[in-house]
Amino acid sequence: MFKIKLIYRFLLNFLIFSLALVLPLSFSLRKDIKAVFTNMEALMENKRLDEARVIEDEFFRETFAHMMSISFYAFFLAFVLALFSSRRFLKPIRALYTGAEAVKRGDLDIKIPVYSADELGEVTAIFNEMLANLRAKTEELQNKDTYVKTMMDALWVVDNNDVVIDINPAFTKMFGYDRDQAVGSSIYDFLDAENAMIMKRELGLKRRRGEHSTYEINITARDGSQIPVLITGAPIVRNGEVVGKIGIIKDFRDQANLVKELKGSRDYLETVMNSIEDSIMIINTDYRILKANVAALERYGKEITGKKCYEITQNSFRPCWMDGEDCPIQEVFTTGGTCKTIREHYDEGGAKRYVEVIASPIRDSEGRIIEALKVIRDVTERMVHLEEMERRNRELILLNSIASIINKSLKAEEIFSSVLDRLIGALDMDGGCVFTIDEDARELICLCQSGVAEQCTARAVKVKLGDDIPGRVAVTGEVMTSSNLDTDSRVPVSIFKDSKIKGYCCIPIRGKERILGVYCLFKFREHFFTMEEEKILLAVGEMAGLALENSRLYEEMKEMFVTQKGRRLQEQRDLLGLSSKLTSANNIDEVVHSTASLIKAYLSSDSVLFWGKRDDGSLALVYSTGLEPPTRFIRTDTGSTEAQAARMCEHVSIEDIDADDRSPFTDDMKKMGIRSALSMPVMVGEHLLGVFTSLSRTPRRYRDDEIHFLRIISSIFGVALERSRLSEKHELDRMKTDIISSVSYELRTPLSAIVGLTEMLMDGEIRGARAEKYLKTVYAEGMRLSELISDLLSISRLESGEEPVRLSDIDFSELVESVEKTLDADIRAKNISLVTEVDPDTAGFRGDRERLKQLLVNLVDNAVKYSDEGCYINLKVRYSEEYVILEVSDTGWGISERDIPNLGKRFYRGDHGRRTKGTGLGLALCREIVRIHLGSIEIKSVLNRGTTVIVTLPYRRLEDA
Amino acid sequence: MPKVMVIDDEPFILMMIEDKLRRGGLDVVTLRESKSAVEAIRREKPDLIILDWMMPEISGINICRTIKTDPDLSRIPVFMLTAKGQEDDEKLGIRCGVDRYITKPFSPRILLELVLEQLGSK
Repeated sequence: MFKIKLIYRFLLNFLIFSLALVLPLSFSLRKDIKAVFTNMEALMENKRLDEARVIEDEFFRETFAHMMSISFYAFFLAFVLALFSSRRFLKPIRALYTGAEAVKRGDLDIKIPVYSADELGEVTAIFNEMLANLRAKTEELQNKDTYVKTMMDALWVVDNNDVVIDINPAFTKMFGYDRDQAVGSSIYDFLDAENAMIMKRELGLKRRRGEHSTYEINITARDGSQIPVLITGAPIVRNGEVVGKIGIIKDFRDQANLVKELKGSRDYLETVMNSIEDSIMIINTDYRILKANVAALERYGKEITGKKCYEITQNSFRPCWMDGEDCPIQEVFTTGGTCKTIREHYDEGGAKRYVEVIASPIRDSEGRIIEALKVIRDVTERMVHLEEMERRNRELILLNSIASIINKSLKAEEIFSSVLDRLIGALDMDGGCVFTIDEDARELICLCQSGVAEQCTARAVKVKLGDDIPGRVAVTGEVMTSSNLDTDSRVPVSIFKDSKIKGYCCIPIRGKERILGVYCLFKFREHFFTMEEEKILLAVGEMAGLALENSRLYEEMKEMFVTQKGRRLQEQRDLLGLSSKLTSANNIDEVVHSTASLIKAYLSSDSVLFWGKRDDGSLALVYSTGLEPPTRFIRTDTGSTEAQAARMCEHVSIEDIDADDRSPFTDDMKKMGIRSALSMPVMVGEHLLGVFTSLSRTPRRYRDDEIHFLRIISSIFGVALERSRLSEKHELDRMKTDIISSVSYELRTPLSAIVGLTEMLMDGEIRGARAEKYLKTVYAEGMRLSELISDLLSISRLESGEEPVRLSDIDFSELVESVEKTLDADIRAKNISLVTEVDPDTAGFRGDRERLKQLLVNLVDNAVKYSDEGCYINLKVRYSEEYVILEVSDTGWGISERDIPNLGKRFYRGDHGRRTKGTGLGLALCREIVRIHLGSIEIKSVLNRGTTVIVTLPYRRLEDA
Repeated sequence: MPKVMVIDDEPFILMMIEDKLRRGGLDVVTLRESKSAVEAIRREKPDLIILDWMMPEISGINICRTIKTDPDLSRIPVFMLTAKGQEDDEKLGIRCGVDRYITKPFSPRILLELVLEQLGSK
């Protein structure tokens, strides 16, 4: 086409040039021809034919020759011109050709000049544009290639048959395969069997869906190692069809290590969590338990993970805050702070447990609270203790308030309505009534009532003795309680039953000699009366009896019994005083002391003992007052009044031992001249705590009112004792901590000498005499440390009663000699004169020889220590009828007045502590030794004059109990 | 030569610290009782004071309080050397202006290092 056009163009040029040349030629020829013809015509007119012919021939001949040459030149010229003009047309074509050749070679940096504005020029311009586009595209491709090449992550391109068709250099770097090795292999050639399966599953799944996919897999490197990688694969889609897949392979070795480390730290965390005894749970904002430690799993069951926390701890189906409770987890999520609270939880059996819950937030890296950590500590025991104490307190307060009501008035009606109201309030009852017995009519008359329905009141104004519940209680004197009268088979008919009363109790009001009435409390719902409630009600019944009798006495015998009235009033005041004293007392000794003193005064007895019940069921003397000498080692056997009282849980009395064929008294008691006794058990509910015994040297019959009084006091005392025991347990824990911290403090000072001085000796800084001094100090401080520890051990053994008291006959002369021998060196060193004096009448005193020696050594050693050289020390042992008296006096430094009350406190070292070495435990130990011998210790001292220590030990002819 | 004043009621502690500090090239003044301590400090003008906490009459912590509230003496560093090892005691000490709290038993060598460090940093 192009050729034809080219030829056509050439011919056209040729034709134009030919015409342009031939036309002027033909004009000149025409002029010549015209001249010839004019000439010929003239000749022919002149009939000069021959001539004309000649001219004609010549003309033709000349013309022909002329024309031939001219035409030839003209055509030649036209040809040359045509050729020349065609050359201009060829030039852009050649340029295009050269351009095409360059592109073929890959050189894109050329530009073809545009020679003409014709089609060819347009073609050239398009060609240039095309080249520019091509250049841009190529550059882009080159860039992309560079990116792929410089990519850190490996990359592979896979066709639909999972054959690798391309990889990048990073792939080679990562796995060691060359491009030639990799391309053409199946991807499964790079995987072991297990990973191949994973890959097949991934590819199969995702390719079908034409989705992107990301998965972790191990690729086998050329050196055989397994490299963990993360592959992000994407399908290559061309014309809407998946033709292959490109995978970016991320080196996951670091991540794999991180995961391993993370797992390690998680394992560690788990170990820590599991080694904590409290239950720990991690709970998310849905209240779902994400994690729980072993303690929690053991406590709440293996399957709690994934469940909601309130299902586990509350047996509830919704968060506890929905039920209006303070949920620590909710608080953590709302406030972001840590929350500590004591909650009631319920275990699978539905039993209530008190737990201390500490919840704290777990935040993510941006500080948002995502979970909560919940630590649950079971504090049920502690709370039960506290509750118990609170309950006992309430009981005491109730009894106290009732005692004060009774004391305020002598009008029976006034007293009973107040008491009734108080009881109804305290025990959460709906109502109650009080009946008194009319002996003549053999009827119970309603004295006052509260909360009773009217028709019932009308019927219950009078009840015959023996009828209905109150009637029967009044006759038998037995308490009657019923949790639900409707279902109680013991009560076939009752006016109370008709009044829709369910929970019911009827308590006798006991006077001194007989039952004076009854009182009832009731509830319209079921109510189970506990032992404690019953016990209080009984105590109130007895107090009410007292009050009722008092009021009657007051009313009836106002004048006749003025003295007795005074006594009753005193009795009530004492009771009130005792019960308020007991409410505030936390110390057992104080409680026992107040109670025993009151009993002693009230019963005018010579001695009052309190026997505590020991764990093995036997009785041990805890407190005695009025016994001479004060003793703790009275034996009790099964025949004694207290043992009987304890066994029967009822009081036992002996009017006169001489008239009684039983022999409840031991020889020592007889020797003390005891003739009569009254023992009253101290009970809390059915639990025996001990026995009070009142002893008299004269025969006497205890009156009912005295027994009655003792019983009331015992029941109040029982409650107080129980309460003080509970609080003492707390006290003991605190004391232990105090002792541990002060002991560790005391050990540090001698340790400083040992550590510091030996360090300097070892450093070689100290030599010669100085070194000797150092060593002596180290030795002395070491001895002090050892003394400290052995004293501490002795005290703690004595205190805990771990070490039995080894009784033997003591020969004081021998003992004093041995003390002298022990301290001989110290005494000589200070040039002290020790004078000993032992009463020769060794009447077989029994004691623990080792302990007594320790006691004397400590006392004499103190005298030596706190004296100047050359002073006097006097050690005397005297006997009397009932005591052995040990006296150590010195003419030493004496003790300042302010130190005396603190002597014997552990680690207390007074003003002289600075001047001498010591542990501050010596006197504390002495006190313990004196205590186990039931003796007393007294210290008299004047500063700068001297000190006298007097130890009084009671004589013992008895074996240790 | 910097002067260090040591106040303790245990003679062996005084002996030990005196020997150690003298060997470290320091001038040492010792005092066995606390009653005249503040007076002695005013007189001696030491560069550093080592105090025992538990002393009869006036406790070390009270001496330290007095020193630290006296404008003439407050710049003198005070080391408290004590057997009271509980955290609360240490906090109390620091609140009262103690510069360094050292619990017994202690190493004389380290004590010397601490004293030199304190004197050097001043």
